[in-house]
Amino acid sequence: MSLFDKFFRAISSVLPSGLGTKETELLLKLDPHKVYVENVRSILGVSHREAVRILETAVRQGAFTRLVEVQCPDGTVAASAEREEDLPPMVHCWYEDDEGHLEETNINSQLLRKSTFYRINERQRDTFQRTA
Amino acid sequence: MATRWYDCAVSILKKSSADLRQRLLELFPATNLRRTFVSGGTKEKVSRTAASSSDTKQLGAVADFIDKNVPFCKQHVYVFSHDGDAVLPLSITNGEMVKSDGDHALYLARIEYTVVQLDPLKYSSIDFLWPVRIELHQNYLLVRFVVLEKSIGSYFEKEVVVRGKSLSEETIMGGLLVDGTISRADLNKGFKALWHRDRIDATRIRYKEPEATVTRTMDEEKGLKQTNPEKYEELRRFPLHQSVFIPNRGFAEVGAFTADPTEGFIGFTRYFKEGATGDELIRQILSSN
Repeated sequence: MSLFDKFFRAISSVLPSGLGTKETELLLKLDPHKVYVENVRSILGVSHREAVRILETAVRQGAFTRLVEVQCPDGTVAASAEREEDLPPMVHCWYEDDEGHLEETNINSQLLRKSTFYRINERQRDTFQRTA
Repeated sequence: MATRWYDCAVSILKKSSADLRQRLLELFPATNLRRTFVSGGTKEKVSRTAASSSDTKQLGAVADFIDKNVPFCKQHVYVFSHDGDAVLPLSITNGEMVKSDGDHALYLARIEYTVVQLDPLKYSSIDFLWPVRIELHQNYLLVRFVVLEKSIGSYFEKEVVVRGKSLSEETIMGGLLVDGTISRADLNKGFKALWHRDRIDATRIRYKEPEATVTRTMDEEKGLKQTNPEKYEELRRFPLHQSVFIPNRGFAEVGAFTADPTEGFIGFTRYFKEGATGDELIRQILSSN
């Protein structure tokens, strides 16, 4: 079974009515390297919780990997890893000083906001690309 | 052309305390300080030793060091266009010319930071001598400001909050613009030429669309052109503003730098790798502009 099929089976398990053509097309347009819960939620018109369930099911079935990214105070993604403890302890961020100049600084990752995203399982990526 | 000294050169340094001269020298890379003054010791110690004497010869050596080493510092570079009439100013706002060498001049401006010390509450201030180097090129005038220490608190034993400062880059440049012979250079062409040739890429780009100002910040500091060439093709039609670039081939020693091409601004916010400067990068931007 391809990753694409696994992903859609995960969706079907929480969407009994199945997917329409439009939703399928939109899902196929997602960047498989970085899928946020909100991407899936907005395409399927489901709740946040249901979108999480779909993606976590896809993770269990091996289609996707869950990752975490750490964000600088301005929202810029500074680094990502499969587990929070694997994020670098310090990350590099830019900020605008009082005079509007960009300056750089290093910030402890623990102090920064994290968010979850999903990525197609790289080990089976070729299969996905061929099928999709 | 022979170096020409001005009376004020030694004057402003001589009138300054050893502490003030030490803070001035501490703006420069430790490696460069050790190479010129004392071969060993911390940056603080080398700077203190070099700044301690008010002997005219030593002050001359300090001025010479500053002039030669501004390109190695963290710095803000403003590029102005001129039509051939521009000359090096004899002074700048709140500052004096220290040295002139025909095509460039070094100035030192006095700047005062006012701070509030906490616990117990106490108002205080600290002065710096601020190096500014102005360079006259055929079509451009470059104004380089050495970036002053951001952590003013490191000069105080207790925690402080900066309340204000007596001088800004804008104030000094306002004084330079007043006679109307120079204007901010638009460096979009030069930057885009280097970007097109893959000499640089952008990790953060701000550009002006007809109805919006857009900022794209790349995840994990990836290069925009390398990651998303289609987006690069789209946005290169627009004027570029405050952005972060990373050097590719040939400029690795420069590291990430900031720029506002539309406003003629280039900022080097970190020390270069040893022995390097951003001068060749600037030269290529200007020659492609």
